[in-house]
Amino acid sequence: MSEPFDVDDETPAQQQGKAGRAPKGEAGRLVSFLHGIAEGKLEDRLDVTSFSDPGLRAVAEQANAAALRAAADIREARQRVQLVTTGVDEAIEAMIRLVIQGDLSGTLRLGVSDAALTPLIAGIGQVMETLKKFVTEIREAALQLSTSSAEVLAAATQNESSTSAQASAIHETTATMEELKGASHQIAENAQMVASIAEQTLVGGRQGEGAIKSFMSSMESVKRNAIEVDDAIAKLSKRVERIGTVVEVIDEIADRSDLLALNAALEGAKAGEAGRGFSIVAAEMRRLAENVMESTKEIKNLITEIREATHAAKEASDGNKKMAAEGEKLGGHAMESVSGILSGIQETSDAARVIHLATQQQRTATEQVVQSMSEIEEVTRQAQAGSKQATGAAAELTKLAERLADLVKRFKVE
Amino acid sequence: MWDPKAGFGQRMDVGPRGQEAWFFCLRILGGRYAFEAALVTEVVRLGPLTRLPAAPPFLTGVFTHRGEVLPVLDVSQLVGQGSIPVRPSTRAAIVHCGPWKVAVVSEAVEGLITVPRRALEAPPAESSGVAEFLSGVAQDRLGAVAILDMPRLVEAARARAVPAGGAAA
Amino acid sequence: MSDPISEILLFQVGAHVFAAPVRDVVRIGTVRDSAAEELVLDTALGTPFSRQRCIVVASPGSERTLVVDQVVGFRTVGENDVQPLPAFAAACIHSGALAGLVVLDDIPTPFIDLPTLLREHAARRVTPQ
Repeated sequence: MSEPFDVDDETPAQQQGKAGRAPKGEAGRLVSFLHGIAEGKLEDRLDVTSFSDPGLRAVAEQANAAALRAAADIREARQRVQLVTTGVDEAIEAMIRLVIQGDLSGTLRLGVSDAALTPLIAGIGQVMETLKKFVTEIREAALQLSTSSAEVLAAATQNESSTSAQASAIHETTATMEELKGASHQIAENAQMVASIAEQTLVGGRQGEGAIKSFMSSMESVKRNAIEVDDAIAKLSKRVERIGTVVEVIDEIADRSDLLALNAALEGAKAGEAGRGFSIVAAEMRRLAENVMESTKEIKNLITEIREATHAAKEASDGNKKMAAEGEKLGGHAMESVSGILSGIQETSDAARVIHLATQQQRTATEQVVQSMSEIEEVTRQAQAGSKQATGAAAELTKLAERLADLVKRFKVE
Repeated sequence: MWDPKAGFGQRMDVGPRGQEAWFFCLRILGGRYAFEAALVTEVVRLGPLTRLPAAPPFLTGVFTHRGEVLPVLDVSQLVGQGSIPVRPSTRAAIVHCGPWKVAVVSEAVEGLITVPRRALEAPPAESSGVAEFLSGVAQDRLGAVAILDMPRLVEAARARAVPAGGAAA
Repeated sequence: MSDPISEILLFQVGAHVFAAPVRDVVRIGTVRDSAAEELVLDTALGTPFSRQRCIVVASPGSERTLVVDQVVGFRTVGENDVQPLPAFAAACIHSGALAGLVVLDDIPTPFIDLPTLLREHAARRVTPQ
């Protein structure tokens, strides 16, 4: 056993070992008690009354008091720790709830209160506030973003369609210009043709002038001829009529002869044998009469033909006279027309040349326009491509904005 | 025995004891009409007809055949069913009915046919048109054939010839 | 001397030629020469197309004029050429105007009794049918 206060020399274990050899007496009990305290057994109390030594008793009382105090302190501390731990747990739980439910609307309230928790609560409150603000800002930004991207999309779409329309309008214009180019080319060619035809016509027209003049004079002679023909026809008709009358007379005579012959034959027949000769003569007479009638029939046919021909000739002659008069009139008109045509042709010729030149100019201008139009088309095509891209991007943006909005929706801030 | 050279006038076995009846068949009124074969003496081509003034419609005219002048009878006109057109190819059968000798004009001449007596049937009841002159109907391998009572027909024709107004001389 | 009956006159009315014995014919004339009321146009022989000729027919007590298209001519025929009508035809034709047939060149031509023809015509006119 070492000296009771010579603790430095021994290790605790040595001491403990030595404790088995407890210090003698009350000092020893103190030591063990204090040892126990040191080891954390704070619930033990010394029975002070058991100490005879007043000094030791005083130490024992103080030791008790110390132990009591320590135990109380420790209990208090433990309590506090428990509190704080609970508070912290609550805070953690609240924060978790926050994160899960997204409810930033309220303030953090703990079921327990402790001064040590105050900074924690304040800190958490600050965090929440910051979060709230943050979320609010994000929400607003998301909203703005949504709106803007919608606007952009709308604008891009509009742009796309207007560029599309523009592109097709330009395309149409180009096509029209192409046509115009082609047409003006044709016009130029036609004008060239017109000019050359006009030249030819001019020559022909001058010739025509001469032809008409000679036509007019032949009309004159036709008219004169027609009058002569008229006279001749009139004379012919008269003669034919006279012949007709004569033929009629002959016919009449022939008919009579035929009749006589018939009756003669009849008598001859009735007389029988006696009248045989008579009958023969009568038969002969009849044949003669028939011949005459045949001839007169032929002449009559001929006369009819002549009459018809004469009539036709007269009509033709009348027609001719009329025609000659008409012709004279027409010739006069023709002369006027030809003069008009000749001057007109001159004008046409000049005009054609002017058109030719004009169309040549137009052609160049048209070509230029076409060129410009192709350039514009190219630009427009690019713009179209660009606006398509823009539309695509805007659409993407809108989608993202929506997603963001969805995300922040989870957080309640009011 | 039937002798082709002897002409149609030769008598055939047409007695009531004979099993087969012989008829001469013509085509008139669009159908087959036959009458007693013994009545027919000859089949002729008609040739140009001379119209007779004041003649009844069924007496189409007369023509000369082998020096003889024969009258022509048109059955269609007799029963009031049109007339048979006379063309160069038109054929007629010369029939003897008692005192009358007429050339019956036809659309076509079929010739001699035989019909078993027992196959002869009574004519239809109607007595208008040509039916009133039928003595029977029969069937042969070419179809139906109407049997005409030619003597009755000719006699009836004569009776129908109405005097053309005014007293005869 | 030949029998007058064998001298015949051929004439044409409408589309047909007829024959008649010359002894019944008084004269051949034209329509112009005859009085209108004497002209006979519409007989059993038919109606003439034109009115070229007339045959003046001997009738007891009067002359009647038959209008024909043509007088074809005269023929001398043998007695055998004039035949009666075939029995059936005679039985069917009740006009006495058709006296028989004259066969000329193998063609039978109606042989007309002109006075009877005109008499029958007159009778028809009196008693209309």
